[in-house]
Amino acid sequence: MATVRLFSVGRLASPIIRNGLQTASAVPVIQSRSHFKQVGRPEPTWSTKELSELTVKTALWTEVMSGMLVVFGQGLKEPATINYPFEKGPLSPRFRGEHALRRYPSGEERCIACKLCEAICPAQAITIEAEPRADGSRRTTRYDIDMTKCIYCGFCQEACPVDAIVEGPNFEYSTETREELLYNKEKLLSNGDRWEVEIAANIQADHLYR
Amino acid sequence: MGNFNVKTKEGISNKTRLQHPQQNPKTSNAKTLQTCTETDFKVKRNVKAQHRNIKHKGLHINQRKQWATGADLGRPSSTEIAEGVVILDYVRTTLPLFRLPRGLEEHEDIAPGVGIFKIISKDKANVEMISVNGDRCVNKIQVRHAGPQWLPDENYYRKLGDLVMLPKETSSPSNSDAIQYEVPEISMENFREEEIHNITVNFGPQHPAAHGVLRLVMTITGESIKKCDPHIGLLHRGTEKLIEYKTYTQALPYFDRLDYVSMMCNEQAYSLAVEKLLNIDIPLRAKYIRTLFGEITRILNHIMSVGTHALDVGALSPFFWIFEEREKLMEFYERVSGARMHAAYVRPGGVSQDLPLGLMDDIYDFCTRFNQRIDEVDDVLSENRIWKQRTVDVGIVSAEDAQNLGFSGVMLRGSGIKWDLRKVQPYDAYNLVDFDVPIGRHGDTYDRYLIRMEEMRQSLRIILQCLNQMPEGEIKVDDNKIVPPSRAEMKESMEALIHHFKLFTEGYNVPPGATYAAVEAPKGEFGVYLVSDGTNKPYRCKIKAPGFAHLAGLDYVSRFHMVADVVAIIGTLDIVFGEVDR
Amino acid sequence: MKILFYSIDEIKEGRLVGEDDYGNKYYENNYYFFSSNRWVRYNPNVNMEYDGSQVPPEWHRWLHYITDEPPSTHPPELKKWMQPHKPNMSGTDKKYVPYSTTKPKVDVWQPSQGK
Repeated sequence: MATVRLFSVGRLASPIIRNGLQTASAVPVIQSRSHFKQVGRPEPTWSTKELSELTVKTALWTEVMSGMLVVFGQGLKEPATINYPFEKGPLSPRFRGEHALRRYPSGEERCIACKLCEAICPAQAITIEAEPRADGSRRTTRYDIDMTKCIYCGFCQEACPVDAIVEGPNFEYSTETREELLYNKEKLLSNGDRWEVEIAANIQADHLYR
Repeated sequence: MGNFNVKTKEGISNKTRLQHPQQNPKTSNAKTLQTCTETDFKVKRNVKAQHRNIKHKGLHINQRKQWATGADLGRPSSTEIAEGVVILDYVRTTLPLFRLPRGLEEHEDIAPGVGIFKIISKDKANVEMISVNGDRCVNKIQVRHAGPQWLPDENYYRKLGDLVMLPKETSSPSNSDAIQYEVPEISMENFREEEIHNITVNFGPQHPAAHGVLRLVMTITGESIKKCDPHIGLLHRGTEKLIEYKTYTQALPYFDRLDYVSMMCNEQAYSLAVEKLLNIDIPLRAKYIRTLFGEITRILNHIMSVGTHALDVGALSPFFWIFEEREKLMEFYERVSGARMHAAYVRPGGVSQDLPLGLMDDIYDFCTRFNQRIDEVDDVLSENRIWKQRTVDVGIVSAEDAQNLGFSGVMLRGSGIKWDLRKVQPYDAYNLVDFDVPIGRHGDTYDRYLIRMEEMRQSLRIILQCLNQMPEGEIKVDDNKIVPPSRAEMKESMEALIHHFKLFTEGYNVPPGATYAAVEAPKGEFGVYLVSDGTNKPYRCKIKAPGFAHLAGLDYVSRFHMVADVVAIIGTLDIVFGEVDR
Repeated sequence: MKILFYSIDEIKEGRLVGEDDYGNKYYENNYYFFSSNRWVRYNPNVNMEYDGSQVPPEWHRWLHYITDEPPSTHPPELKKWMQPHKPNMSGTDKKYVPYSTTKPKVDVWQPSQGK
């Protein structure tokens, strides 16, 4: 008798269970077939349940209250902002910032005036002139980058066969006048001389991917 | 028909015949007519008394002019006009305004529906008037509680031109029997209609809700939009033309700057087009990386879209905490490409560099947390009554309209159309990942918001699958005629060095042909139509930006909405001016 | 451990990681969340003239989380041609002014020099 009762209970409960399962699983089944999922606002059915829920929601402002609770909770969180000149955001070794011309460890400048960077630059921001030096090696006499034209795409450093021109990690070079952004060779080389510590380390950190 | 007698100072009686269409002789009372025609106005004394009265009260005579509205014309009356015609009462009809001055004697014809009324008695509730025809009517006075009311003064009438009768300044009531009036010369040409225009309002380009440099010239009636004309071009840079003068490699960074909140999707479209022309297939890992970052881009874009949409509509807070997540996504961009936004990462033939170690772990970490952020926004916005009032049934686009207006992406799916390029013509690795495309039911702003929220969740799903399925291998095609060799190779091999030089100076030649490649960018279908003439530069590059079509549909979508709804609609259109103006 | 008052609006406690040649001190406390757990206290002598560009490259790398190894424990290899760090000088009289590094292509005729 007990088994019968259990069975009957099971049968009674089965539609509930099945419906419950269906509501949980109905959506994935439809998804796997059509891959389109209806998320639009459902049409009101005006059933008693829905109406009562609506009434309670409207009268007690439950949805606004729960929303305000979330907003209040956000206020309790630690602020996400950083105190910029003291704390700084993360950068990666690949960061493309201010340009610099590098030197070999011996102190010899790397750039051989192959003008690949000038050729690839989409913004035509680079101007190069070259002459043979007294020792016969080919070097640039003019290496100008118009930083106001530059779009920081990184193509120049990709093009450079000797890793001479690089986009360094510095981004704090904003100026008060436009002309200060017309970099010449001396400026770029001195950038390299100052930032070489970090540039070399970054290239070293990223060498596996280059 | 009635006769209208006018007394001037000299006491000359002018007879004016007024024809009234509604009052033809057959229907009108003959007795009335007779009475009216025979009435000779003796106004001297009355006028004098009245004028003194006015002066005493310190009122200008024009302020005594009464506007009888909605006068019931055509009812004959036998009442004698007792008072003079010094004060003319004008009738405002349903027709445009006519102002009938006193010197009407030259005219037999007066436009229909117009009569000149004289107030004979007035109490708090009613005003009884009689026309020059002898028509009599009783009108109710509207009681207003609005305090002092502006009445047309002399300056106002002077502005209106010649058709206004004003008292001569020289006339002095003390030594004259009647007021002298300047009687303007009247001709029918002087009867003019008052033109009524709708107000035209400029929305933007500095409006914070205009999402950039959108300028809308809106014709409004009251507070509802009659016409909404977007004026574009303030961010036009001639990208398409510039690309014709760049090699295929150099053209790539321009695509970052089109839709500058979904950068890598634009690059992807361009790369797919070039790859199609080159007829190459990229390695599987590159496909997965592109898919991974395409979906990161989608989240990036939808955060911007939903965040600023809510911001424009008035919910300020979600913008702040969801932009924190956007910052993290841009850090992923920076780690993989070196730039937070303008990545130049997806290249024809693959991607520029492999994913750095640890990046995938961090993306996974992000994915595990980002769901909660979406839920928070969901909790705050989705059920909120203010948000729903501002979005539900605002900017409805029917499925037919969406197709006719050339909408794509969320704007199309919001109307219930099952169309997603990732599903119908999968590119890259989208056929290898499982995801659902949300579609809407009503095509209104609220449904599109729900779709964007769901798309972010589905993007997370794709990202997780990409992370799990990420294969090993190359990230570029192994063809140094198209992609430059690695740096190590370039420095060791002469052949690689030559390839390197050739690629960075001359670029690669693309076989002649034309192609159209489109991706499902977060905003819709972003397509690149590329024509190659076999050289190293594109012959033509037409960019199909989804935002352009959406903005063009703004007039249609926002018509008859309130001005404030335009802001919500601009938000839901998800317009970015980089791609609209190109 | 040292309580730091800096920038007037924040009190933070952290471990002194090191000090650079310019008197800027670098601190770390991993109790704070990422990107707020490393910070710099600029040389007090600069007062309110502190600027982000005053951080020299070796510490810049650490401060920007590119590496976890501060130069105090992993000193960089220095070459003799390297120059000392210079902050952003824009707006001062030490600012960079562009000039041509080549000889002019055209010699300008000076009337006073005759032919």
